[in-house]
Amino acid sequence: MEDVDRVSDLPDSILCHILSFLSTKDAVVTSILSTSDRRPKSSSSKIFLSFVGKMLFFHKTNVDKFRLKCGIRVDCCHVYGWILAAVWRGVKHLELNISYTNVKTLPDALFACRTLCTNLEDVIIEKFNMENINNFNISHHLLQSLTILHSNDSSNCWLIIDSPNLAYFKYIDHVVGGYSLENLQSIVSVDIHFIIEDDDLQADATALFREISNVRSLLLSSTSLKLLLSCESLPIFASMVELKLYCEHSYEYWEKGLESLLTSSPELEKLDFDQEVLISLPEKVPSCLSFKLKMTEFSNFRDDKDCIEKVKYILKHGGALQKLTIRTASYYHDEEKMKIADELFASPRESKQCCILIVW
Amino acid sequence: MGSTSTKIKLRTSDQKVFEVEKAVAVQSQTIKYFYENGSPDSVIHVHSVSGDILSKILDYCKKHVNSAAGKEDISPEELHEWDANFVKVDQNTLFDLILAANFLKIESLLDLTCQTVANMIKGKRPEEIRTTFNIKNDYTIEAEEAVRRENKWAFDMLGV
Repeated sequence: MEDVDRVSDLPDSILCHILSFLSTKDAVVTSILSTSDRRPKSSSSKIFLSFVGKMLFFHKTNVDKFRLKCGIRVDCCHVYGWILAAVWRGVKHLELNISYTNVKTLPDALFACRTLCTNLEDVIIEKFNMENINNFNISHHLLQSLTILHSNDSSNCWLIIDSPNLAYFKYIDHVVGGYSLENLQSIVSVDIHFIIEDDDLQADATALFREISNVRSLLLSSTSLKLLLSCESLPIFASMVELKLYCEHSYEYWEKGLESLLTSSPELEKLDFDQEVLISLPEKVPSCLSFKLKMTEFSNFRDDKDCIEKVKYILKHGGALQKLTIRTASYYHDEEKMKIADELFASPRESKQCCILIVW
Repeated sequence: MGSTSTKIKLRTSDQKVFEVEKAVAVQSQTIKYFYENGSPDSVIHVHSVSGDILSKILDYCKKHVNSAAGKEDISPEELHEWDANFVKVDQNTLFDLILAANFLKIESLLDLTCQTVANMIKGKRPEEIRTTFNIKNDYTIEAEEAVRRENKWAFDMLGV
């Protein structure tokens, strides 16, 4: 009995399962054990083997970009094979669109891939399942751009980022269990949109905001602004020259708004905002408005008294203002347009060189 | 009758009948399916598994159920050790266990046995693997030379 070849009689799915436990090198070795007439027969297996075979043996050029998109009916071992093949051929751009249902983990070889890890600049993680993950760590000394979108089950997970070269960070997600961010001294541009359900604004994102306070350009949704303003102590954004705020839903009944952030943004030169996030007009004029702010876009303008007062306030105190663009929220007749324009243009301006543009 | 003492009857390919505690038997997703979708007293026919192999597999399931339920005081390391000894069997038994674990859908046992085969491949040269598993080399000398020549870079890098 012992001299029977049992391996070659195993069903395809089991052969693939065994292959999945092997390193690329050992998987390569198994592919030259015998001619391929006894290779897995099902169509996906055929694709798998011909693909891996071709990748590994018959193309002499490296694989620069590799994109894999597959549904839940593809066996995990196939996915492993493909990823390993890409790793083996020196992949530099890798895009995986795979499901947690069939692929629970990724091969270790991926995280040790020389061509990826020695040049890792850009990471995008979308709809990642964080269930059962305590620490989600994205730390890499060369990483420049990081995007995290719509994670699942992340409420107990800590997000850890230690990436001294990170310049761009985009984060559209629920608030996770905790944040540990370090060495983000190179951060230039940050875009944060917290997804908050059931109006639960008790979440704490202080650690995240504190660590990105070096940023030059910041884009926030109104819920992100609210979380930022509920931080224990508001960080000073000492380098921030550009700020954009948009409303994903009404900012009514909120106590604090943009005015609080302005006092923490001494260098701000360019500000685009939905006027709803400006809750009150501070008596003590923020210094950035007096001395730094050059360009402002004021959107969602309505012709009510409050709104007109906000515009007047900016014109009255904007000492360095060069251009104020006003975008209206609704349709106006020509007569109404004239009336609004007359009132705004006649409003006192601190800056002599300020021009006003109304976009109806 | 409490659920703990519920027994499931299994009949093997060589017509041996086993009465197995339900908690142990349902480690197999296949048995669980048949049990839940059939009448409770019927005998489930595990037709592709022999009595010898089923007996071993039930030992495995029992050990893991008892350990998980805390009925047996065994550390994870000790269980790991037990698993390692469990797969120290001749090749035929090992492959029978793989096929049975696959048929019975016992994921942890399938992983354990497949990992064991993978370990037997790891770090070996093609000739050694062929010897280990009695794989017939059906390449002609010329054909194998051609494959190796054509992909010299790969074999050189791998040291194969």
